[in-house]
Amino acid sequence: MSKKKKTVSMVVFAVILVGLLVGIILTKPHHEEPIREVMKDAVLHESAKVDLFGLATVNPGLISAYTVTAVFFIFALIVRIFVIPRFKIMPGKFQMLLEKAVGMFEDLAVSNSPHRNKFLGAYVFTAGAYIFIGTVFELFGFQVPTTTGGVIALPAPLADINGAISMGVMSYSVIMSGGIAGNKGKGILLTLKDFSLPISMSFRLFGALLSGALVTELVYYYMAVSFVIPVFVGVMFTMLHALIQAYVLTMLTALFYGEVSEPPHKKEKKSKRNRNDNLNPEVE
Amino acid sequence: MPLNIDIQQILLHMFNFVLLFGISYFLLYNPVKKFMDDRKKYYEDMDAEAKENLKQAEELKASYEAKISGSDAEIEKRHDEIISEAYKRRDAMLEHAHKEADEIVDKAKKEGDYARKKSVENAKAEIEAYVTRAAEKIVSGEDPYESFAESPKSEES
Repeated sequence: MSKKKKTVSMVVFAVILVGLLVGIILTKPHHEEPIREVMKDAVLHESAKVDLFGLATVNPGLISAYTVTAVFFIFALIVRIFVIPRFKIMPGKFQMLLEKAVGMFEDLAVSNSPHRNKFLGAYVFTAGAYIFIGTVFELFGFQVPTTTGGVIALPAPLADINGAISMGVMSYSVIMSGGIAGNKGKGILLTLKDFSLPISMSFRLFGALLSGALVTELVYYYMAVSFVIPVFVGVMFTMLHALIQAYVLTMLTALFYGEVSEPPHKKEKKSKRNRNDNLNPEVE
Repeated sequence: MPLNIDIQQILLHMFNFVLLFGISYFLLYNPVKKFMDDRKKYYEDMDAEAKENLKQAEELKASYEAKISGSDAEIEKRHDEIISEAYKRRDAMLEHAHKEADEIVDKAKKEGDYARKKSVENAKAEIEAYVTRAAEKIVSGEDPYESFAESPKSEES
């Protein structure tokens, strides 16, 4: 190991130690509310409400959702105006990233629903991007004022049960639209067969995303070193959920969409001669 | 509602997602996909063009090979014709030469016969002349031997 590397390692080690000591001294185990209330509030957002432009009092998850959409819109607009017109046949790094993202969801749609996938590709791309960006958005910890006068860090949009339900219901609606487009009335019946799908999709999303938040809350609540460990725990849980849930929901939607929109296969009628041949194979 | 489920908020989330879908589709997904499809088509066209060019080259090669093999056969045929013609001309020349030779021999034979005949006739005439002169001298009393012996000298002088 070179001298420079040794010095850097020593400095990093010393900073961590000092940080831990400062944290231990400064963080007193004082809790204004019991853990039960903290967890309940993280799940239900009953007490911490946010005002939506004076129109309604909503959960902070909804503010997160609109913020994510606004950020996504600005990003997409910049990309559309400045990047896409400069796309090259031999792609650069950023172009490759965009193409990879679009290609990945398009492939998912094509492989699960080979006969009808144009709309599905766009939907799973949007849903995947929304879940991933929305979940990662939680890491930034943007704070907004609550109606009670306090502040709250914006959670992931889908950690709000209303957001998760809307996502599940919309995915189910998309699946049903595929069924109607592919099989008319039979498509509706095929979709209704899996009536539990919107509930399972919604609560899977909600539970998975919430679990990360709850674990982080627990770590914050109980550990004296809560200013260091949550950085790793929170990031790890959030990133994992962002990837896993984006994949799971898009994959399930594509899978069910492909299943219900698949055109029916007509069975070939066997001729009498063939049937007789099958019954008496040794006649010939 | 239980679990703080709120229909209005669900609808607000849905509105947000539909908005996001529109933004995503028109600003990102569709333009990127269109570019990818265009590039794919560009390469497919290039591939098809290359295949077409290859096919044309193969056809051209086959046609040239056919032409080359055809020209070989033609050259061989022409060669055979020339050889055959040369043989014919040689045979004709030989025949003509034989004919001419036969004619020359016949003519020589005829001329030889004629010359021999002529010389025999001349010899006969000379002998007759000598005999006549000898007879005349005998009749006139001259010595026929002397006059016979002198006659060539007089002729030579």
